[in-house]
Amino acid sequence: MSYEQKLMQMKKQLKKSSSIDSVGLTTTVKKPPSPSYERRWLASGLLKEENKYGIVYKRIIEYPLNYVHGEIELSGLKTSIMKWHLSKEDHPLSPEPTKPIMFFDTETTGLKGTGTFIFLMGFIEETEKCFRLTQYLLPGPDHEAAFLYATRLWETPFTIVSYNGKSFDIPQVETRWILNRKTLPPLLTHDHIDLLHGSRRIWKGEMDRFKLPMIEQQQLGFFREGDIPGFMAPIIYQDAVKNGDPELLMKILFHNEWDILSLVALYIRATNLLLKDESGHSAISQTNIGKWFADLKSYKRSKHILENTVDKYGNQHPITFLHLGFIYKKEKDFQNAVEVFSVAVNHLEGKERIIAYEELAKLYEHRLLQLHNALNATRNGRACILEATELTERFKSRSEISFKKREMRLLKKIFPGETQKPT
Amino acid sequence: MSKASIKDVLNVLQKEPSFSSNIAHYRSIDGHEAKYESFPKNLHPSLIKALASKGIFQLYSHQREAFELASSLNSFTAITPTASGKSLCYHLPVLQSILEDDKTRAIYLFPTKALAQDQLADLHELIEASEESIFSYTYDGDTAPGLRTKVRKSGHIVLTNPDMLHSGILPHHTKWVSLFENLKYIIIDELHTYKGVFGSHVGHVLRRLKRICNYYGSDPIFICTSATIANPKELAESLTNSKMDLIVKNGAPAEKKHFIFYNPPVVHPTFGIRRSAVLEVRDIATMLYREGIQTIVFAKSRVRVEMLVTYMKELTNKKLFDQTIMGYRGGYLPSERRRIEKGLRNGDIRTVVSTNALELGIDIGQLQACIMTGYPGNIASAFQQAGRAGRRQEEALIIYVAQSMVLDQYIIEHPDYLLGQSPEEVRIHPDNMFILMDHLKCASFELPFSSNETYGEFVVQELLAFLESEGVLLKVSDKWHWMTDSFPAGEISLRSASQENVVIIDRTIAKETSVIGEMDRFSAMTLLHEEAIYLHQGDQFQVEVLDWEEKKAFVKKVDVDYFTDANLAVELKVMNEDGAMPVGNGEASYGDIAVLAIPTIFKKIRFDTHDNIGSGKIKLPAEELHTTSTWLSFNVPEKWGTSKLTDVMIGAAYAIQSFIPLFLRCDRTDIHVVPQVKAVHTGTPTFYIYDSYPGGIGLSEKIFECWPELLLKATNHVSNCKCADGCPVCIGAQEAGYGSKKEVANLLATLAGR
Repeated sequence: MSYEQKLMQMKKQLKKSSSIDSVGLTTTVKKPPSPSYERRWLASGLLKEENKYGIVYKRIIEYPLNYVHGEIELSGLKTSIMKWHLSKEDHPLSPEPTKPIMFFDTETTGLKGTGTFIFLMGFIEETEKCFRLTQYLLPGPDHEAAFLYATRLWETPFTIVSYNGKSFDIPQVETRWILNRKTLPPLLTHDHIDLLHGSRRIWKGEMDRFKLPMIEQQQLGFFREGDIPGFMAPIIYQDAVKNGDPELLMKILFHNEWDILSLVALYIRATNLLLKDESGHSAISQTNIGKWFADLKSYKRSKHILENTVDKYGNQHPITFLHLGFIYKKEKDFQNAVEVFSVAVNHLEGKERIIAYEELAKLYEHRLLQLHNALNATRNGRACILEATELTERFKSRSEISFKKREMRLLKKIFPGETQKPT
Repeated sequence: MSKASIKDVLNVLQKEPSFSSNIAHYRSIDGHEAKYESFPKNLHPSLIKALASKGIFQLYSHQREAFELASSLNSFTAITPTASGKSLCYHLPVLQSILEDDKTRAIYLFPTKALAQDQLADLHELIEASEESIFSYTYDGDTAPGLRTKVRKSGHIVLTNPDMLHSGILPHHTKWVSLFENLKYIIIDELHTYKGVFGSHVGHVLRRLKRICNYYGSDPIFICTSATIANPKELAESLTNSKMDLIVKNGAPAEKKHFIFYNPPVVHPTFGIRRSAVLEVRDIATMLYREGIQTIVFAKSRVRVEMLVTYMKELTNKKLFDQTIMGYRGGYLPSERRRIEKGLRNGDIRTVVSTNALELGIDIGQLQACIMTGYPGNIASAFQQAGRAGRRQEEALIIYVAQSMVLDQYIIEHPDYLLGQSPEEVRIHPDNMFILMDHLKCASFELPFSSNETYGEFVVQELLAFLESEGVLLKVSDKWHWMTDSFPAGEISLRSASQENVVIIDRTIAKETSVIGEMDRFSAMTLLHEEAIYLHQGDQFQVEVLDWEEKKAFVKKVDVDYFTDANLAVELKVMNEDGAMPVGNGEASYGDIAVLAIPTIFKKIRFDTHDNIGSGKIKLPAEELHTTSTWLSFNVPEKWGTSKLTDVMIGAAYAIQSFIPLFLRCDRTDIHVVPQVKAVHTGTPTFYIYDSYPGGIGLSEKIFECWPELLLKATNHVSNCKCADGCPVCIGAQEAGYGSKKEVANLLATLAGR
């Protein structure tokens, strides 16, 4: 029978009630019973924890402090944290010293909305003797309060390190918490380091996709074997609670475990790239890093990194010169600024080249007072607008107008008193 | 330019023979004085100040009544004709509550995004004049991501539309805690627009909204405003599933209204074709323009608006920058619309040509005259349009110009039907199983149902069990949890249009493809198959590609001398009969049916001669529809052959279908009429009427109750039609000399029991 036919049959039995409906406002908390499949799940290696709201399943794995994930030794974490403190940088990756760091990832039953459950939350923390992974698994939707409570996210303020957690995992946690707010103590606000954001800043232009497995292969030297892709997680969990079979579910736990181990490794790797000149990275990422520090107003470090890049890679990635030029300009080192912008215009294309010409023109006109050079730069810049093909209309017209004005002004300055024909 | 009064103009028109000879009827409705009440005693001083700044020092009686009802926490519906100050019916109680308690929240619901944005300006003006800091925002697809968090956390008043509530707010209710905990008012503006399938969907969205509010501990009241319809209280109660008070007495003043029913002269007597209404309207509007009368002209489509504006602008093309004649329709930029609205209020614009966009509550002040190009399809709309004419202290002129269409001509014959204060019923049908199940899924997604919970007025435990068997829900510890990775609100469209309808895309000019219309799947099979000639606003288009999977028909403008006619094999299977009663000498029944439609072939038929000049196969899959139906079976009249019976039944079905909108406020395509000479179920000739929407939306059920009346109206209309053998105004186009008009009238009369 089709869905349509079934519904038409059920229409006959449709009943209405006159009483006003009330949503289950029953606040008396009754501890839900263990699910029927508990024995099978526990047999596959899960631990059971009980609290006042119900039960939660756990999996705990400990790794030695010198554990190696891909090519990264996790012992580097301590040094990384220390380096951040010593650097005194106010950087998105720099952790607040008082809050313990928790590497964190979730698996959910869907993508958005209040009908999406978090069914797995994994944490890795460094202890004195080891790295400890704790995974909390939701025994069934009725044990959500117990599951959330067990994570202690209501008790201790952490620095949470995640991959895309800012826009996904954390809002999900908040949603689930609000749905259980009548029973649970309030959720704390935790510090948050999002490594997706960091990875984009570092490897933009070098990698075109930022899925975690890509990062693992290209940056951490880690290759997964027998992994179940994350998008399968919702279906697998739903099957597991519907038919009680935990076999595939355990693979999702492994998947989550790898995700979090990679977070630790990625954090170490990113810190090394950002805070010391680690060998083996490219002109592009090094330039990106320099630019990032410039955006954070850490100009000294930015200049140092960009100069190193130029020394090491020359004009391999000419945009380095553009960024460096802006820093020299900021530091009022106009001679050097003109020098690097001049290199930039010879190697860049399109929009960036036009910007470099504009900067050159400004410096020549206002700082070095070389009006003819300024005029040349202006005219060259205008010519670039005509040549360039992939400019937005807005940028095009804005630059065109500003170059035109500059040209008129320069001509007036160079030939005072003469009336200029419009060009 | 002389500024004539309405009385002078009436004199002129009545003396002008080319005009007066076409006046079918003249009627007038007397005006009445305004009925005022003082401000409520507790009205907040800031609001008194705000009202004073707009020159308001007392309220109309209905506004005061609204304030009192809201203060005592009663949900209510106010009947508010055009320009009766309806928005104060809800602004005042809402703003008063916010000023009394800053935590108070309100949702304003408008049928469209554009209307919400229009109303925001009005509300802002009032708030600004009060000099209080009250935050009101629109929340829809256009709201900037950066602003969204602010709207959710601190918007006192959120103006939105049902679609956004359905898929953007309710499934994410945890982000709106401060709204739902403190929600005191839900405003439903333009209540009468929530009809049919869309209205039924919205009814469920509101049931879900109430459920979420209860979860967060709030119990908001509903304030609805509506145009004049037959059953405002019933509609509001069934839409909101809440008890409603009704405010019918309107305190706003009304001026005397003169109605002229104008029928264009017959130009083709055999076929009963009259002169084009559009041309007539152009001439009348021109006359009024010359007399200096500020006029609004209503046309049914955007294209007609543009045509009329183009015609009219010829009057002013000698003057540079003249903007005294303007068009107004959806698709104009908001800034342009604001400019036109202002021009109308300050009198710079003298003639405006509009689609029904101006029927809804947009403030353009009042004009002197209104011209309707044809019957807008229902009385409520007609009154909304007529209401645009009538300034304070001045009489109003409304000219109704009929087209050569069934209902248009019926109105010309029966002007009192329009003026007789018996507007149509607006019905919704939240009981539709398909719609109910769709929203039960959404509600389950939003919050798990407990094992003793009901949903709206429905007992749903068995339905929830069904959803569990379909793998959507999981029941543990007395709760039904959503346990699948889909997002139901994303898959369910309130305007079933976007899911079920075929979109018609004009690609005459390759780079400027545009959507020119849409059509339900059933009709599309016969009207939008490949090679079909599709007529749109008088233009011919050929269907080049019909993408049935994606529900898109790509058409190109053509100029050919033929039309296409497709054959559709329709199998109707009665699944069960829920009721029956004798009607005339036949029997009417009501129940569920399955409709199986298979398009077969199409023919190309030459205009005028009606020669068959070619044919082709239609390759489309059969469509099955389960819906509700009413059917009328009767015995074959004596001595009638099958072929004659077929012709007569087709003519009768045409007349019946045309009259259904007189009884129910629905679109012609919401319902199908199928004649069968020998129906499988009854073994006798039978007319089937069924709802076009899966599961039915209560239309056939209603028709089942009024068969005799429907048949009688159709009989009278057909026999009184002035054509010779039948025409598009009565039984559909007939071949000259062979029409079966008399037989159709006889058959209808017999069935009606006359």
